[in-house]
Amino acid sequence: MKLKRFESALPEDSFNLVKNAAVLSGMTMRSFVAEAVLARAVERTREFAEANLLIAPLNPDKEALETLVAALRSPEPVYERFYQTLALARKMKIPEVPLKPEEEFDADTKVGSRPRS
Amino acid sequence: MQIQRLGRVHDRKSFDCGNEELNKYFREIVTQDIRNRMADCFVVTESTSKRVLGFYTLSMTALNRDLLPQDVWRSNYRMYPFALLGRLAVAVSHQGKGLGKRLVLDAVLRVADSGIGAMGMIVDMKSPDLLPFYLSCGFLKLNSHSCYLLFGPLKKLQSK
Repeated sequence: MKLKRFESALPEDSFNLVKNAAVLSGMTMRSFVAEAVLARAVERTREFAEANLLIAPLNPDKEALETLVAALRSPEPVYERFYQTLALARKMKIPEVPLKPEEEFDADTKVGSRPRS
Repeated sequence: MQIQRLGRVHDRKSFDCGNEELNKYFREIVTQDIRNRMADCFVVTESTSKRVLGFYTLSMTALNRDLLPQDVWRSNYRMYPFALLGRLAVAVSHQGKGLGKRLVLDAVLRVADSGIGAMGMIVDMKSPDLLPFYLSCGFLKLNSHSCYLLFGPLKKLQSK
């Protein structure tokens, strides 16, 4: 098995806390940290996978497909619903206040992504 | 009350809608989705404070045309774009006051006025119990766990 090493640092108090926890677990600090990091990584990956489940191509079941096809074949009543909803939305609109640039989250600037112009 | 795109200034930590999954998403994950351009998030706050009273997220999704019979195809594009109302929540302190409905309507208006092509909007409901709520917001039932709106031609809208 190929091993890869990484370096990390903690404030002294946190370091001592981790060290004590490792001793209590009967593990070396290196093993304890490696195990804890791996467990956290697995948990985080699962959370993000679950969080992103919604952002996928629509995969309608039979019932949803039948509903959509019926709506597309005879769209007028469905459009009417949309126009009514839109009219209500305009009436109940919540005033919007734009964020200042310094209040925005930075766009991702990892390799392969395009920074905001 | 005002609506804003979620930013650094908003207090996410104290948000509590009574649903742990949604709380966790809003407190810990939504900023990653924003940075990665997977979703955008809009929040309602009091005009004088940055405490979040409710939020929703918007993304784009697509329907594979090949799932539909040919007689309802609208173009030669293989994927038909839809807006996705991914998550929506209202703080416990403001539930039952109509804020959820205003958030849904804000999302519809935002997409309809965005100038970005979308055939409609889809909502993935966390629970079938939410169906009456979305029906009251003008949506139609798609199946037991989702609702939809088809956007009508703008020309017809202008003549109304």
